[in-house]
Amino acid sequence: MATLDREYDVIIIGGGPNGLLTACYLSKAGAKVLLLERHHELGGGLITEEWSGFRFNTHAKLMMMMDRAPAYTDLELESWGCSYRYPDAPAAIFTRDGRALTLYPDIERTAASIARFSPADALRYVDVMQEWYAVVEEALIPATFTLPMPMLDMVVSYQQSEIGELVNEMAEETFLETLDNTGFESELLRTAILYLGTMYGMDPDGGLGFLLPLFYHRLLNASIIANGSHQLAGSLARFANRNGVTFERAAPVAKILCDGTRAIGVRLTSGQEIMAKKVVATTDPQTTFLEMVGEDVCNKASSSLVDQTKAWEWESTSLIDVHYALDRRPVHTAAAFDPVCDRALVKIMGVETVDELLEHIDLVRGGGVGMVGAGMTLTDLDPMQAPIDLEPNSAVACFETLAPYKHSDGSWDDLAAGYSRSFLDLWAQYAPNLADATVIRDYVNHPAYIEAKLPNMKRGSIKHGAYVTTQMLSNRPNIDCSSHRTPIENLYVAGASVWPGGMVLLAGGYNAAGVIADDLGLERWWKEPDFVVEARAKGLVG
Amino acid sequence: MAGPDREYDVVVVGGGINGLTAAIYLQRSGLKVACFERKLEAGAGACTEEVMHPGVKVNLCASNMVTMWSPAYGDLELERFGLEMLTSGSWGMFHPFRDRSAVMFHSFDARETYAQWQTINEHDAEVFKTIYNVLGPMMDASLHESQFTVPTQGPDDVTAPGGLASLLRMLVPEIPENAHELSGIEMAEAVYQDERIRAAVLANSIMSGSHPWERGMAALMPIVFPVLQCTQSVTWTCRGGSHALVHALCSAFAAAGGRLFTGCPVDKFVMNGDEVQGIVLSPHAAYPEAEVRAKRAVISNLSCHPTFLGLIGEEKLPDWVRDGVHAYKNDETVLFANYWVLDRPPHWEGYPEGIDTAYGFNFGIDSVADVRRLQHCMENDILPDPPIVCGLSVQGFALADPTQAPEGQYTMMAWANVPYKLADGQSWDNIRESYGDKVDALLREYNPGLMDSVVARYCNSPLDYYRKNPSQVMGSTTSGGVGLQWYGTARPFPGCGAPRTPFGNLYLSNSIWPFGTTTLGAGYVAASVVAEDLGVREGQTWWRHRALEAGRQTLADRGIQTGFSIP
Repeated sequence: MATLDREYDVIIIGGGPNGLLTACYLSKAGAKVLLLERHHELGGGLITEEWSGFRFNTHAKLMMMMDRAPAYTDLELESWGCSYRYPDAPAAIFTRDGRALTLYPDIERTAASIARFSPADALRYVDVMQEWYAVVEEALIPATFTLPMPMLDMVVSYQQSEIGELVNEMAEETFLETLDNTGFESELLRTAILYLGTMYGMDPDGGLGFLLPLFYHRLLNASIIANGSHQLAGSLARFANRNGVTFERAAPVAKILCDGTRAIGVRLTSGQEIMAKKVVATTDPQTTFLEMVGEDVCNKASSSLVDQTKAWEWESTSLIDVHYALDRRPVHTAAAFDPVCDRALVKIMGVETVDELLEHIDLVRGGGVGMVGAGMTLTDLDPMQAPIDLEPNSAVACFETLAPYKHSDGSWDDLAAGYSRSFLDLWAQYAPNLADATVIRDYVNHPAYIEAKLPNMKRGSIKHGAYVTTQMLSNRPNIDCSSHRTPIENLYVAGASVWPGGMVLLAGGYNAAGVIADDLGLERWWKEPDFVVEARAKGLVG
Repeated sequence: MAGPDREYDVVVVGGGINGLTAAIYLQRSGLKVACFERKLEAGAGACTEEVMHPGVKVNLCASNMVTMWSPAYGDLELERFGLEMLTSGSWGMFHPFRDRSAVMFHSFDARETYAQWQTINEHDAEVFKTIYNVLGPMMDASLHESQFTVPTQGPDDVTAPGGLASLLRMLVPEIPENAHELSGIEMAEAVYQDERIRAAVLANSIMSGSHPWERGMAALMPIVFPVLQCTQSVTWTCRGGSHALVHALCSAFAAAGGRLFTGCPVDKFVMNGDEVQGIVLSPHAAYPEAEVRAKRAVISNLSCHPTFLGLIGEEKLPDWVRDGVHAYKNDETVLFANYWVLDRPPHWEGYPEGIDTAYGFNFGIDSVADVRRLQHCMENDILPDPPIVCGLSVQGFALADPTQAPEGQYTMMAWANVPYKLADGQSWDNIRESYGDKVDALLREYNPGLMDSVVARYCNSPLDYYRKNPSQVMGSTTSGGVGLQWYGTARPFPGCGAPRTPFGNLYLSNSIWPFGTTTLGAGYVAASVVAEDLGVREGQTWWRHRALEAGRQTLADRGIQTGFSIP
C-alpha cells in the first residue's frame, strides 16, 4: 500500500475511462485527487493483455468517439502516447455467395458500393444519409458532451429547429421503424445498418430510434487505439499522474462514508478510511447506492433513490468475444468481388436479411448463441499487436457477437471452448485460408467472464444498464442523478450508468468533471468545443 | 506538449525493471532521463496478466521476487510507491519425493532447516550447521559486492575458487584435496551422504541459474543455496502480483520527473562513428519514426543480441565484438511453464508439516542420476521425458497475497527445464499441451490430491516467452548465458567492459553481470557506472543503502528475525 494522505479534495472510485477522465480534468484544475481502483491495473474495460505476444483487447476494441471527444485535444492525448487508427473501410457485410457490401464514412463512396446491389438504394442512400449525418453531427454528438436536458424541456427546445424536430420524431420510433422510413430495398444494406445499430445490444423493437443513426454513423467512424486499447488508459493515467493524481490499485472500496446525508470519504475493504470533500463513484447505481452508500442513508436523502435503483434494468443481452492468435491473417473470398472488404474493420458474417438478424437476436434473448457475428482483424490496422518481429505473417483476429447472460444449454465455462471452434469454422466459410490456420492461442471472453472481471457490468451488462427510454438522457441513472450530482451531498456519479452511457465515449467523466469543478469553485480550464457552442445556439443542447 | 523532447541527457531503451531502475537513479541524480518501452505496459518479465479465468492473476515470467534485498528497495523508497513484498508460510522451498519425504529450506531460521534435515540424515544436517554458521555471516557481507558492484573477476578468476574451497575443506573434512577441480555434482556427492539432500540442493542450484555439472562457482551452489535461503530468502511475491513492482518503479520514476514512453519500439541507434548519440523510434511507435537525442548516455536494457545486432547493426560491429556477440548463448536457461488454478488450498497429504504453506518447490529430480539426465538433455537439445521441473514451482502466490486469485481459488505454477530447439519436425505450438500433460502427470506421481484440485491450466512454451518479449531471445529466462564463460567481467563477452561497451555513450543494463533476477542488480550497476562517468554520483545522499539493509528493516518491522546461528 502506497503512503496515502488522510484527506483529498476528490476521491474517485473506479479507474475506468470515466474515472480517469474526471481525474485528468479535475487535477489540472488544481484539485488534489485520489483515484481508487479495485483491479491491479487501471483502465476498466480498456484492457489489452498478451497471450504469447499476441495482444487481445478482450473488452473495448472499437472507439466510437475518438475523432470528436474534446478530451483527446484538451488533454493532448496524442502527445501522451495515445493515437488511434482508422480503417480504410470501417464495415462490410459478407454474403454466402462470395460478395460483400462495403461501407465507408464517405456517403458517395458507400453509395458506389450499394450501387452494385441496388442502384435505386444508392441514390436514396445519399438523401437519407445527408439527413442522418446532420442529426448525428449537429444534435447527437454535441449532446454526448453536455448534460442531458430534462426530457420535456428537450422536446420543446428541439421543436425550434428542423434537426431537432427530426430527433423528436425519431425518439418516438423503434429502430425498425427508423430503418423502414429510409425506404431502402436492399436487404443486405438494411441488414448491415440494423446490425451496426444493434451489435452492442440495442433493441430493434425498442424506442429512441435516433440511436440507430448515431450508432451507424459512429461505427462508420470507429477507430482502434494503436498498440491496444489499454494504451488509452495509460495515456490518461500519465496525464493524471503528471498533474498530481495519486493512484491506488488493488484497493476496493467497501463503503462511502457519510455524515448524515453528506458524503465525507470512503472506507477501503482493507479497513483504511480516507476523507474527501467530494466523492465520485463510477460504479453502477446498485453498487454505488445500495452497497457503498447503503439504503439507510439513501432513504434519508431521498424518498425515491432506493426504489429507482432497485428498478435498474440491466441489458437483455451481453457479448461473447473469441480472440485468436493466428499464424496468418484471414483472406476473404469476397476480396475478388471488392478488394477493400478484405480489410474492413467490422466484417459482418452469417446474416443477410433483416429477418435473419431479428431471428438471431430473438435466439440470443432466449438463451442461445447464433452463428452470426462480426470478425475483426485488428493487426490489419496495427501489426505490432502480433509478434511480427518473430513471425511476420501472424495476426490477431476476434469474432464478436451477442450472447445471453445465462446460456440455455448450460454453464459458460463448459460451453465457451466450443464457440472458439464454431466461430472460426463460420469465418472460414468466408475466409477459406482459416480452415487450416494454426490457432496459437485462443481466449473466449463470455458474459460470465465479463461480469467476473468487471463486476459493475452485472449480468455481463457492457453498458452498465439498458439503453431504454426510462434509463436514457435525463433518466440516466435516474432523474435525480443525471446532472452527476446525487441526493447525497458531495457524492457524484460519473460512470457508464449516467448519460451518455458506456462504450468509451470519453464523455461521462468529462461531463462530470465540469460539474464537480464548478461545485469546488475551480475554474474550468478547458473550452467547450465549437460544435457544442453551435448546437447550444440552436437549442440542441442544454 | 507531452511527447518526447528532441533531446535528453540519458535515453533508456526498454522499460524492463532494470532499465527503469537505472532511469530512476539517474533522474534522481539530476539528469534528464527518458525511457522508451515497446509495449503498453512497462516491466517486461515482471508481468501479471489474466490469461486464464477472470481474477486469476498469472505471473507469466518473474515469479520469485527478491527485490527486497536490493539497495534500490531502500534508495528508491519502493514501499512508499506501493510495493509490498509478501510470502506464504515460513518455509521457502521444499523438494518432495515419491515416498512422501521432503527436504525443506526455511526462509528465515536456519535452526528449522537444521532440525528438518536431522530427520533425513544426521550427518548432512551437521554439515549444514557447520557451513551455515561460518558462511551465513560471510554471505550477508558479500552480497553487495557480488550483486551490486561492477564485477572485477572473470571466468579465469573463479575456475578455481581456492580460498573458499580450502575453507570448506577445513570445515568438512570429506571434501577432497582437489576441491577446486570439482563440479557441483561432485561437490554435492563429497559433502552430503543422503541422495535426497543431494538431489534437493542440486535442483536448487539449477533453479538459481547455475549448472552443477560445471566447475568453479557452480561447485559452490549446492553448499551455498541452503544457507542463502535462510538469510536472503528468494521466495517472495508482490501484493497484486509481480507487475506491482513495475507500478512502483513507474510511480517512482514519474515522481522524480522522468518520462516513460510506452508503445514506443526503438528501431535503431543514431550513431556518429562509434558513438551512440540517440535513438530512432519504429514506424509503428506512438511517435512514429521520432528521433530522440541523448546528450550524455544511452542505456540499452535490451539483451545482448537485440542491442548489438538490432539497434547497432551487425555491419557496424568490429570483428571482435561481432564474434563475442555471436558466441553469446541465449538458450542456456530455457523454461516451459504450467500455470494452474486450484479450487482449494494446496495440500500435500502425508508429507512433513509446513509444506502446505511453503512458497515453492522443485520436483522430478530424485537423485544425482536425474541431474546427469538433465545435463545430457541440455547439452544435446533433448526434451526431458519425463520432465525435470527445477526451474521453480510456486504454490504460494495466492496464499501470500489473496488478491492474486478469486475467493476460494489458488494459483500454482511449475517451470520445467527444456531446450529451446526441438528435434526436426516438431514445433512448440504442436507439442505445448502434450508436454504440459507430462508435467501434470509427473506432479501427480508426487501428489495426486493436488492435481485433483486443478480446475484450469495454461501452458507457456519457450517460444511463447520469446514471442512475448523479443529481448528474451529463445525464451531465455536469464537474458542469455549463465555458464562459467559468461561469468563476471566476461558477460556478455570478454572485453566489452559492461556495463560500459566498446561504443561511445552506450551502456548496458541487461545481459550483464549480475544476470537477470529481480534484485534490480543490473540496473543498479548500470546506474552506478553511468553516474560515475557523468560525474553526478557525488552528493546523492539518498543513494546510500547497502544490499539487504532496507529489506531487513521491513522484516524487522513485521517482527521477523533472521540471522540466527545454530547452537
